[in-house]
Amino acid sequence: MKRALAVAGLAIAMATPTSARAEGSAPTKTWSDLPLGAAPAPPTKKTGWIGGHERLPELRVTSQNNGGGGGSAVEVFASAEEEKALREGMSEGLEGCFAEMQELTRGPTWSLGEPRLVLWGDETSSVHAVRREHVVEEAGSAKATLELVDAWVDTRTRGTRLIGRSSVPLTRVGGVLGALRVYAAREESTSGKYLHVVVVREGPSASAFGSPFMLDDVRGPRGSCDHTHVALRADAAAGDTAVLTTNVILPALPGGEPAPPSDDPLALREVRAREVEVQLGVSQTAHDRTPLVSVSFGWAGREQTAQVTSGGRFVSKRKGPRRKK
Amino acid sequence: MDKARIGVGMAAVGAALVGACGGSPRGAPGTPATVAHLSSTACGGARELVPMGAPQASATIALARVAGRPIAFVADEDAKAILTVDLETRQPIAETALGGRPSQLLVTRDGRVLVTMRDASRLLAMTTTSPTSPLATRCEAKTPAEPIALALSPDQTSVVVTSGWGAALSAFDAEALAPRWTAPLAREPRGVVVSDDGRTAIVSHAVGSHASAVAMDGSRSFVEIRLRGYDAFALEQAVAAKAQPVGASDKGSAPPSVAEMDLMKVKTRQSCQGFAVTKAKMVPGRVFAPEVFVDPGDPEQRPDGYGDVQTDTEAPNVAVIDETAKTALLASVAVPSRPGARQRRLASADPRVTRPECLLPRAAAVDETTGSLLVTCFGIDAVVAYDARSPAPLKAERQRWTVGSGPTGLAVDDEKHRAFVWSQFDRTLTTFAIGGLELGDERAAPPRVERTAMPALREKLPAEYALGRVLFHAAGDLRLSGDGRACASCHPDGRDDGITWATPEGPRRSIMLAGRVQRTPPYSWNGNEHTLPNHLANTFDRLSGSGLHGFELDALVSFVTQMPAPPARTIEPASEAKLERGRQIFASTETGCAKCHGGADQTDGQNHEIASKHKADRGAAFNTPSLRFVGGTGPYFHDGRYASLRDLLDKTDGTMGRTKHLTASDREALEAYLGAL
Repeated sequence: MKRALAVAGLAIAMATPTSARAEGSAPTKTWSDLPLGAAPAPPTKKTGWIGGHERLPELRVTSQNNGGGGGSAVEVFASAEEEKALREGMSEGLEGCFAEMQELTRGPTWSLGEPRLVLWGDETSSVHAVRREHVVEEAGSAKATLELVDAWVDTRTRGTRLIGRSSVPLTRVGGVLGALRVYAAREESTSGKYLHVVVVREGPSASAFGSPFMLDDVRGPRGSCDHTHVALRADAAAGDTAVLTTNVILPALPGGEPAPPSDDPLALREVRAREVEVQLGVSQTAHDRTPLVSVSFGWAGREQTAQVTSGGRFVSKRKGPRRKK
Repeated sequence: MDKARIGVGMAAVGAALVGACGGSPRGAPGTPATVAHLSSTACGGARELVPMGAPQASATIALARVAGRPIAFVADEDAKAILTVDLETRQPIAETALGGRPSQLLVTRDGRVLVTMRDASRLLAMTTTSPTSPLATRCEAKTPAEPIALALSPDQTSVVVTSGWGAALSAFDAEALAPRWTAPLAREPRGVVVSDDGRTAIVSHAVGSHASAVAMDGSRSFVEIRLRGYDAFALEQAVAAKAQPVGASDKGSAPPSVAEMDLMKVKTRQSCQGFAVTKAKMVPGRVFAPEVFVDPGDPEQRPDGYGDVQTDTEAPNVAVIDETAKTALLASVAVPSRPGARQRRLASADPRVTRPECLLPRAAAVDETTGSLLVTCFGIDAVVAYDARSPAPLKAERQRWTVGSGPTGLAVDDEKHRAFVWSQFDRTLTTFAIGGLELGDERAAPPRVERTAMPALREKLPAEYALGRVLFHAAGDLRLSGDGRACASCHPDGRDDGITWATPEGPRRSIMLAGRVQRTPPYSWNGNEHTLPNHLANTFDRLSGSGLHGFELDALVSFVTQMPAPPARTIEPASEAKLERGRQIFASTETGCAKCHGGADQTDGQNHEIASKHKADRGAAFNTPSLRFVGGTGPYFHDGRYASLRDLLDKTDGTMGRTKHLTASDREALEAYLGAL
């Protein structure tokens, strides 16, 4: 049974080139082709205090030992199960993905997201606005939804209070070799026009190469979730761009060595991996009636050989797999 | 090739045709059978000749069907001919001798090939009715010096031609090639396209950090479109500061203007290498202008080399011009705040972590099917595909293909979704399938690139010269520089980049090489190098290159000393008296110009102190530069302090000759004379 699960895990990441090309060949979407949605802007007014008895089911807040530094630190998870998985070093397939809304400096959502969010508080500021994101993909469809839960979190009381729930309908605009699926939506709200792009990873994270998602930006944001979400300003006539970098596992070469059978989900095997860029842009010239959307892909580095467990986890080539004691 | 030879051999048959349009001295003929299908107008085309696609701008290669057969016309500058190449076999099937160097060509809907003759300053209209026959010249027109690129208005009634050395854009009636107007432009115009509404021609410039938008109404008015780079972070702040209240405009927030950016002191970078410019139907209103950002260093400082070795002195870019607003999309001219390729390369032990950069872009075209902007690059000999929909195409590189050496032009075959690239240096035609939008697994399905060698030149280039030309353009060769710069980076087309660089001696203007190196030692502004090999060795050292030796160094010297000089500028009869007056003033003892700038090369080869020391200069004496071609090489002086010759003449009285006593008309005559040297 273990072996069967392990093979299934790899099969997802190693989709055939044919199916991968079909994804990438999706016709380019225009602005008006994209579904209309809105991601709420960060709250402009802060809440002073959240009672410890106030709890949201979507957020699990636990204390973190901060070494007696005088402040208070908490960790935010999606659930007890995900907390347990993360503490055991598993980072794939998690539903929780968090970002702190005060840091969303570019657009209403500028979150590369972490499955575990660490918040620090002090005497003057202990309440944080937090966004939890979750992508729901419709099987056999090019549609998906980005579910958002915005909440206040008090690091002193560990209380949580809802700011709002919302969802953004998405449509598929491209993909890479079965390992990435890219969705987009447009927002035309009182906050302005935005292009929302959500990139969903398939298969193991690329922790052996660093963060699963990195943004080519002076602030260098990174993300460790199975998806990431970028919002670009579509009403800035200057144009807005973002380049996301991540790693994908490439399909096995024809005639390549078949995977040796193993009952051990932590047994290692080599795969081909390569850094890929998801290149996003939106702009509007004096000629354009609506913003022009750009979603394209390019290889960012040369192909490398990585080691992955049969269970689908990347591990460093230099270090052996971490085993449960 | 046999067929091509036959084609050339038939040249004599066409004398009647050439004569009919008052034509070219060496225009090749069509066959008698073709005459019946030619237009009855003096300069008309042949209905058998049909362009493939709807090209409106020129290149060194153009695709067409002749009598139904798909062919490519190649402007073969080294052969001084137009090659006709069968697209399916990729074999030459005809050759049209021209007797001069063709620059670019364009096939019109009325069945003609328009060709610019770079060294003859002529625009030719040619045609043929048979793919295996040479083209016959139907008519021709005179242009300002060094015509390069041409473009048709959307209705194909006008054709505009850029003149590099002549610094102008000229318009002609497309049917008869009758001249309409000429607009003087800034230095070194190269590529040209016409806006969708036919009202504006957008011209790229090889130097000067800008493009020009020229009114097509004959008013000769133009505006300079600034293509300088802006620091990305500072740009973001400036855009945010300028942002309008939400919902104030359906068209979005107006970006800050150039003046506002200057007011906010947003740091800029100069740019050059604006050889190519293109546009596409699938993204109307946008013009793509590949260029290179340049950071020449702080002129107040004296770095170890040319520019600050701690920064990326050169970085590729593709500016997107809003042809309606006549400005560049700011996102397209934002210089990334992240470390450049050089820093990333230095930070990694693996030199393969970064792709070689396109520091010498030369041609561009858009594949309308995928929206890929294809750019050919000298030095790395590649075609790079960017997403033309992106407001910053450089950030959206999709793919690249390796092609032959010296890719001067490319054309897209929309029907079979493939590209053809002409590479001048190794005389090859490369073709590759452009592919779809998907990102391919290159090991599983390597991109198929086919390269076909064209026949060797009848009059072979000297081997040293040919090798030297390749080395001169060798971007990314660590022997020449540590950061990828090639000789051609600062000396585009062998000329100068118009930029003042910070150097160990102080601020120094790049100098023009073409046509004025051989007889003007000593070299460098300080005149401290007496041989060219020594001067080159010193240059490589300052560029942190490991250097060239032996036959390769000899080859580079050979090319640098023999590269083609600009063609003579046209002198109108009405100007002759003025030029003669200018010559007299120049030679007079009163002005004293000829005292240092005498002789055939207008230099005495000596160092002089003319009170021009910049505060960062180590020394105060400078070698007298040759005045050959001085009219096209501003700004002037070793630190580029004078923007124009007039500026120089007005401000150097008493320190470099005497001009104060000259009347306005005499000063104008002297300026005109200098401009004609």
